[in-house]
Amino acid sequence: MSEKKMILVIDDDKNIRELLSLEFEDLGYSVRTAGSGFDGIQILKDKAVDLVILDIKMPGMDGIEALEKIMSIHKELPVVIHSAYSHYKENYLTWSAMAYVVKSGNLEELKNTVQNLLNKS
Amino acid sequence: MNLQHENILTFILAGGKGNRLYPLTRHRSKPAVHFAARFRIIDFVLSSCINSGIRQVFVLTQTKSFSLEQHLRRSWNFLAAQLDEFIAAVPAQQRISEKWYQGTADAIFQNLHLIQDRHPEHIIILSGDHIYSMDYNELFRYHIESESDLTVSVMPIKKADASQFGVLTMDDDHRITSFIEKPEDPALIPGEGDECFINMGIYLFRTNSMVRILAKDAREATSHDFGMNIIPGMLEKYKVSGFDFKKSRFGHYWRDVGTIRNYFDANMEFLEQLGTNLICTPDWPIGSIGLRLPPTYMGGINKVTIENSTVDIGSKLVSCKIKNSLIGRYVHVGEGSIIENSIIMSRASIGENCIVRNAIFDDGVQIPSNTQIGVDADADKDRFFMSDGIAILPKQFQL
Repeated sequence: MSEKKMILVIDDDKNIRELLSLEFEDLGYSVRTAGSGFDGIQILKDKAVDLVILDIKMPGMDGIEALEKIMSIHKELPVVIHSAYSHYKENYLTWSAMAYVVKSGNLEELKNTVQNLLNKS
Repeated sequence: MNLQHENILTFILAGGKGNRLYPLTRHRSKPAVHFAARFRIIDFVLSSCINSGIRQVFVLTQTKSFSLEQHLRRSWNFLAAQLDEFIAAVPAQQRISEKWYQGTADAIFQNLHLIQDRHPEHIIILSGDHIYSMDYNELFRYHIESESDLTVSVMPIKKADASQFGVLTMDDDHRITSFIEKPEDPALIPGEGDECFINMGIYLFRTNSMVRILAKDAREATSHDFGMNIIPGMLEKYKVSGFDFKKSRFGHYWRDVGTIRNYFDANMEFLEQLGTNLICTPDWPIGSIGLRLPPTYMGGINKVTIENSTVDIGSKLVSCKIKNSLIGRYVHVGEGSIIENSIIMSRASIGENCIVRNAIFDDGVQIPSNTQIGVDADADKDRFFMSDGIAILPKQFQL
């Protein structure tokens, strides 16, 4: 049996972290979570991760800075930005992410995006 | 249409090490190397920017950047910050990667925040390594009219010289159809005999297209280089056009001074260009450091002879003979000395009865009376750094 692929969720909203953990574990993935950009980067340095779901608006190191750090550690790692705000799409510093999904009650778009990226990798 | 009124941001890539120009690059990066004993190499591209109306310029520096940054502060600090005009040196900050810039495209990608801060519609990317004049308004007009995502300035050169550049082909509408960096067998221009179009390292991008492809390239294992990766990778999905530099206002002259021999020849060519006023004109000045030095003095018991040469301000020439040479500022040449086919940069001191031929003196070189350079090749080899028959005396060298 092949090892489960690991998703790292970086989001300061505890409810989002718990929801995404449950949903993606149900889909057969391992999930780790971090409540800040700093914690997420630390996990990325210590553990093998296959994909990152990244919030933008977080206290301290926000998602944009975290994305730069992720690029410096593992530039080919797929990152999906998952933000409540669509205007960050216009920010060039988010364009290094593989996908941008606006948060909504329906997680289908996020699930499909993540599955597509992980199937490619 | 004038670039001064367009939403455009300019980057000058000025991190070139210039290893083949050693020892002129011992203390400075290639763009900061002196040229024509008057300018720095980067002064040409900066002058073209200012003369074209460009007022927002980031100069990306990397190794041995102090000399260049000092030159920018001293010579290019005249724009109005209150009007958001600037020429600003940006050192490699390692924001994204903890390494130096991995390639020309990586240099821009690592500075995306500067683009995000200003959101320009178009971006000009220039090399700080080349000697030329260009009115970028001509390039911009072509870029807009052709509705290109990227317009590359190109020029025809002989096939024998093309292999060291990016070589491209274009269709009848000047859309670039192929682009190969340093090809073994460069593609010829149909119907133009033995000539090929080469990339001059002058790029005008639509910003969104550029960022999209740079972000993609940054995630991939490439050389992160405009010539190697970005331009070839854009040809299929983006409109990439070639602007024929040779047909533009200053299209007769462009030099990549990669080696000491290229550098020396370009200096001598520049001497000829000055004579015919083709590259520096009253309405297209080349800027450089403006020091308050007295005029050059020429005198002594016997006459001073100067033939096909330039002499900068503050120098003192005493009963000497100067031919086919470029003399910098605050240079002293003693009585009876002869200088031929040489480049003598600032603050050099040449004693009496010296002979200097086929030599490059960097800043502050001092040679005593009766010194001979370029007369006895064997003796020169023992005393000087030689390259292709040219003696190079590095900065502050004292014999």
